[in-house]
Amino acid sequence: MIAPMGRSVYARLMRSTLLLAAAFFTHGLAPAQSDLIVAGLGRDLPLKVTASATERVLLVDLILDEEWHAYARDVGGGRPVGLSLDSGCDFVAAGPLRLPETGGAKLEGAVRLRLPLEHIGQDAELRATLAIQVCDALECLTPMTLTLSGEVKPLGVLLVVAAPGERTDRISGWLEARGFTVDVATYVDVTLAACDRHDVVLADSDVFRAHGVDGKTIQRFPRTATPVVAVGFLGTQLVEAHGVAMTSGYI
Amino acid sequence: MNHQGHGVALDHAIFKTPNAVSFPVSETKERGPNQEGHTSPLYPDGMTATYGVVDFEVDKPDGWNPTLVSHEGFFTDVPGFESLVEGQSSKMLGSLALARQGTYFYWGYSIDPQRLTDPAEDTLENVVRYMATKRGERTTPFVCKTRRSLWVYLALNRESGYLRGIEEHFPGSVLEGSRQGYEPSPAGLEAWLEENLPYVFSGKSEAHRGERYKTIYEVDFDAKALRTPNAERASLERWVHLAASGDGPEAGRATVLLGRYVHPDVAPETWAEAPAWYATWRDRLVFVESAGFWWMEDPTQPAQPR
Repeated sequence: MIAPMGRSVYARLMRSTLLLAAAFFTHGLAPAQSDLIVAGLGRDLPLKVTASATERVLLVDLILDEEWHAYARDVGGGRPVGLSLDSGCDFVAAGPLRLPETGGAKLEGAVRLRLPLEHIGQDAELRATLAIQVCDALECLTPMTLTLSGEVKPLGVLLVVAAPGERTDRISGWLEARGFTVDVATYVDVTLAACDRHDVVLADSDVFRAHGVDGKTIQRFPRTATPVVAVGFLGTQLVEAHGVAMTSGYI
Repeated sequence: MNHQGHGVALDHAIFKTPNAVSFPVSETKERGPNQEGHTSPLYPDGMTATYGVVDFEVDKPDGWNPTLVSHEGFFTDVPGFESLVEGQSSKMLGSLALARQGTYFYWGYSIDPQRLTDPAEDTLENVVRYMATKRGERTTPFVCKTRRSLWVYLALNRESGYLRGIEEHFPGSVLEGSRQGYEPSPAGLEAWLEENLPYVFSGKSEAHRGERYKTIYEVDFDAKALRTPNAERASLERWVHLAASGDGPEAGRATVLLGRYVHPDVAPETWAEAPAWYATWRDRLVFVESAGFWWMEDPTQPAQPR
């Protein structure tokens, strides 16, 4: 169990909350990727753990209270951090665990662990185990084993292009290699329903005078509720057509 | 704009998650002699004497990426707007290159993987994932350009000696009654801006729309008479106080100004109740020029039913 700590639990909770908020804004940990369930972490500990994953990487964010630390490697103190995927899930590690650079072996404050993933299964279930021990100057708490689990579903991207071709194939292939599912539409035939069905619309454009789409077609681009990544020249026209200020400075 | 960027907001999520992006500086450039004091969303305190440039594309594109004016702070008053990278352009030092407003992300470079550098590929993946979290994000509508575009003519003249803006574009962008006595020279524009820019507005009527310049500006002589620059919180509070204080000419002017600048979606039934209205709305109001020079509800706050 937890060793006596002699510190205000409230103060620690406040620090953790602030650090967690700081980490949220620093890392943008809103669900840019699938959030995972973290189980096995006791209450009132000087440590908070959140985890998320894409099809290519498992991210574990540790928030250690002030004066507490974990270990990146074995230096004869506490047990070093370990992160492994459970056998039988739909993912395997695609490389070694990456830890932030530290001056010594101590991991302090907001720490992000990265484990590269490869999706090998038919489904999207990810299960992993985090082994960690946290210490301060006087003591080390009992080593903990946490389980991380959840479904890692790929985001759906609607790629909108002037005309399908080799460039489209390259972009689609790249998106799929990055763990997205991809559908393709052209600027002429893209529909509101198709946009709304996807997580993100990626509206491609070649350079000036090579983009191949006229202004009237852009004016008709569906006003979707789905977030849009607007690229290059056609992007400026699309954003302007939708009444958004940020491309009003076109010269 | 070419294939490069600078002023990269590396603390932002699009450079951190899920990929930790590292951009090696490919060139160090010196700030030009006319760029001292240059400010922008990414250089709010001015440009440093030298600045690093990073590559988003492997080389110069066969053509041009768009140059979008950013250095005069066109968009800084849009609540929640994020300017994340400035681009290199022969037309100007700063060009909007990566930015987000509401549910829209503007990516000013190619997305063809054949053209992208490795860090740019990692950034693009992060951008797509980041934007997936922005469904439902509110922003303000674009109605007109901000008053800073009038200042640009002076800035361009200082940078390159460009005079056409001062001699032709400025007069074409300002209602005749608002440029009486304007001297079409750099000194003349500087003097006009000094005297009038805080009182400029647009976006309210057909008179403010033009075929060539789109946005036509006007000087608000009511605000000027009260010495209340239209975008300042203290001005709004003075109008509220005056409107509720009586029937004098200043009260009348204040009521006109409140009607002109407080968006109908948030305005009270009558301005006699202005102080009570302001007490309710004070912390939720923002002034947004590009939305039509309105005091309006801050879209970054949760919507509040009326």
